[in-house]
Amino acid sequence: MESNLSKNTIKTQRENWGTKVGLILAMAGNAVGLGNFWRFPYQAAKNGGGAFMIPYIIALLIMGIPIMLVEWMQGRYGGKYGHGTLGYMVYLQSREKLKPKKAIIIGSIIGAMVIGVTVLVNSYYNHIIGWTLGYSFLTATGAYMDPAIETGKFFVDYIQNPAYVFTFWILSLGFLAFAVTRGIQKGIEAWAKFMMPILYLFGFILIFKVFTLGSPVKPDWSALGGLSYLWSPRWSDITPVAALNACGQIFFTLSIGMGIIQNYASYIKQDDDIVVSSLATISLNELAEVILGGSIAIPIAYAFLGMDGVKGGIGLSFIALPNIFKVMGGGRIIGTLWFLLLFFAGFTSAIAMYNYLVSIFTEDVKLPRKTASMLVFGLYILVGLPVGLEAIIAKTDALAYFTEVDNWVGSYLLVVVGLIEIIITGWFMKDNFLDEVNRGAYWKVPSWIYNVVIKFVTPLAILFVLTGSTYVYIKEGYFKLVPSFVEKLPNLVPWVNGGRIAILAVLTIGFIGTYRSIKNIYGDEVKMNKILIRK
Amino acid sequence: METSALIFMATCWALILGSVLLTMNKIIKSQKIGGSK
Repeated sequence: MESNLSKNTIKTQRENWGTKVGLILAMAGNAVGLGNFWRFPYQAAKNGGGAFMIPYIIALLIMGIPIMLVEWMQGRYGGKYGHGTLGYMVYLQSREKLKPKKAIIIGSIIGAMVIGVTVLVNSYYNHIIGWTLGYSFLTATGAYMDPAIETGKFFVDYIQNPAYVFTFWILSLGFLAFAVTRGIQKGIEAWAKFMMPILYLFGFILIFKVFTLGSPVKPDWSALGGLSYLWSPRWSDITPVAALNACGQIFFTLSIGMGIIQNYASYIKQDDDIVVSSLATISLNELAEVILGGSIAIPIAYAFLGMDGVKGGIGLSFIALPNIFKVMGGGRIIGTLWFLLLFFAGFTSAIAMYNYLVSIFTEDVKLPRKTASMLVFGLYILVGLPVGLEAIIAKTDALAYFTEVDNWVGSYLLVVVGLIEIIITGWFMKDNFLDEVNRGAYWKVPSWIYNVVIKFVTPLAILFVLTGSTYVYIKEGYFKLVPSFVEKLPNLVPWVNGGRIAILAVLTIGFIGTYRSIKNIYGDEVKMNKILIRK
Repeated sequence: METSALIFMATCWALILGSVLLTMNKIIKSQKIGGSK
């Protein structure tokens, strides 16, 4: 038994972060993504501006901060045992109270969900990154600056043009593969140290430009008018849907419920201060989202297009803003900076998701990092092909495959993962959460955060979000065999079904793979249903 | 810009910027984050 155990126990030396600046910038890059600059402005605009910001701030306090603390703790806890993936972490957290036979099932379920998120979100997320890179190039070269070109049609032409779509998508994937193959310090950390300061710099340059625009079209349309819309606290306009969307935005923007915060946190040292690190990650993310993200797209759209422009929805970044870049002074430079900012934001988050999957292949299957990175590259090509091909083959801009996968994985599954994480930590972790999270911490997390917030408030808030989302999904027809959004587009139904098959396949393979991996290392524990490996 | 909007925005911005400065200050002084460099 002894020799078998020592054989199975992970002894491999894992890489650590090289510098504290590198770690914090990589974590900030992980959290700061397209959610901050692309999703936040249109969500805020769509849900009533100030009426969205109130539930947003409440959700940040009762869900964002507690889950971020939990995820950093889970990551460091898993890293102690040599694991960077969530299935193992949840198994280790829950095995004492639930016993190994049950813990392996919970670990495998959450492992499968996170594989679902990191594989399937990237089926479309990497395409959006490709679009931002493509639009950086096309804006710099003035491709849509001719007044006769309509930017809505230009965008549709873009996503139906295989040369554009595949060139910039594969280029983005190539950069990602190159960055992750180089490892933690030379790859992820080095790219974050390069990209994140530039991202913040571009953000501040854009804000300066936006607030020196004045009123270029109508006297009562100005950047300040956009800010006023975003920040007027209209309590009476708060709706349950706005509250739900605000909660969803908190998950998306902080990259929680995806397993990737835990993955980065697994590379820190065991007495590193995770409380300050968690709060720094959230602060830098909110700086990028609320201050930079909120002060660029909405004010600029309001100054040039008024309220109709602000409510441009998903097309705010790719359709409404290019219209403005065409007519504003220095529009080509400002537009290029905007799309590069989006590219950097998306890229630094995509690296984290890429590295999660590489960790599975290097730590669970014991493949060399380079081979693992190539495998993930191939996997991303495979799952991303339908997203790229749908618009080209079906000659549509409806993107049904993308919508179906995003509805279930990008919007729903993250919240379920967050709920399981917080319940396991609050109720099924034998080692005290407070001792674990406060080890090495300058600011100690007070006991009421654990006893009140993590045990009750956060799980109940997440349950509210899940129940509300389920109700909205039923009402909007997402549960139907032929979802409402494609009822009038029968040629897109196969794409929706393809998305569903992809989700089921990835979750099934993810469950089996995670179960086998945990069993491979902790098989004796599971067999005897008692703890044998402790660190 | 309405006064209530200005107050709401200024409060949120001040809290965020304050948190960034406070946490960055701690990180610079701390020997317990991501190595000591």
